[in-house]
Amino acid sequence: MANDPQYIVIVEDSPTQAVQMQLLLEEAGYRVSAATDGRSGLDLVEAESPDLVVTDLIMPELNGLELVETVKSQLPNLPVILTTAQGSEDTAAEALRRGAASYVPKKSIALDLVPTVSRLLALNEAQRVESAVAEFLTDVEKRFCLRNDDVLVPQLVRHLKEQVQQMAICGERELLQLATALDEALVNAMIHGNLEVSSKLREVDNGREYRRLAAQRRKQSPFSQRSVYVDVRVNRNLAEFVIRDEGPGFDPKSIPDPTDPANIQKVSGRGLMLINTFMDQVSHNHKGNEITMVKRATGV
Amino acid sequence: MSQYQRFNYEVLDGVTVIRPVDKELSDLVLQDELHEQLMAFLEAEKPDKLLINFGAVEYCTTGIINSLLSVKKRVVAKEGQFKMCNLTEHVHDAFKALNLEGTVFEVFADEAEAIASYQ
Repeated sequence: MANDPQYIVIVEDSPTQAVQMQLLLEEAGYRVSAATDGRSGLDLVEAESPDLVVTDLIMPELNGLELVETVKSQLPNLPVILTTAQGSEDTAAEALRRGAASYVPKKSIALDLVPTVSRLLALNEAQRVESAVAEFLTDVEKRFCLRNDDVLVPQLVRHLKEQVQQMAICGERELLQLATALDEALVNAMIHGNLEVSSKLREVDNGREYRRLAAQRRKQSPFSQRSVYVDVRVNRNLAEFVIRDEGPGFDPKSIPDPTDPANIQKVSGRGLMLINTFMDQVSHNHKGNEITMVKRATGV
Repeated sequence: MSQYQRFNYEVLDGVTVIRPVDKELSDLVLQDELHEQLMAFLEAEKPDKLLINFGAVEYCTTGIINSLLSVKKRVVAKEGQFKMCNLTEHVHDAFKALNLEGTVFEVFADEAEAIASYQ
């Protein structure tokens, strides 16, 4: 029904903290149920289909990390918030990697729990609406201008993969291949293109010199002023990505064939080989600082 | 918490089996952590028979492949043996594209088959 309050399950083995959270959420207008351990929390989630879960990290039967993983595997769209005691920030970070939507330190439950819940539910609703109209989408064109931070790469790749997935032009296997090609092209553009850090440095001191030089050049002129431009065009027949850096460029023909036994132990060339294998069409501009990659709809 | 957060390990029939836990190794922070922890493990445990079960890893890039090559180099330099097993379809695709399977890496379908091959 349109005005039914949203339903939240709390999983918390401390009765005091469970009552505190339940009162806060009910005062904010939510309907709340509580479980006292991870196992019964999971049973409650499976039986009652809440809109959101708030769970403690350390609990008997099934801990918060395990609960997050299990919920995400069965109900990937259900947001899970972790409450964390002081000193468990590393575990909270691990839980975020495993799929938790957010975490709220226990010391700030009174201030932060309700706004966090509200924000995540609004985000979830927006995503649900977007999914509902996705089948009517015919074309997408986007441009991104990125700084040289390779931490952005997996996030952008995930976003672009979702755009292609929405157009349903290929299956999961091809999507993973596309994601790999995008990842390799973006890292090439940022690190080798803009920051001019050679992949040969990966062989020095376990790759530490490679990372050190990249970190240094991110803050150093002229490298730090360079951007990576990503133009995206996706429709029901193809996905095209043009990635351009502002570095000096390179000659793709100068990269040794990494599949040649003579080169197999070298670190360079593999990214480009994967791009060429996984995309249906790949081309470079004359200067070598722009790559165009195309994935066609399966069957086209 | 274990110092090796990016993988589990155990010794079976004299073979040290490492099992990375992350599904997606595209995150560069995770890649670096996995690499550092693998190197620390090799330094501490010095396995002469090492098997990496890649079954949990659904997606990886050349960053991880380079790391695996470093692991192999380190093990072989101490006259050890390094093998892999349980590659997912996508990782198989990447290894095949790069001519790594059967050339640089000995790859088996599962742990049992891989462990038997060390005997």
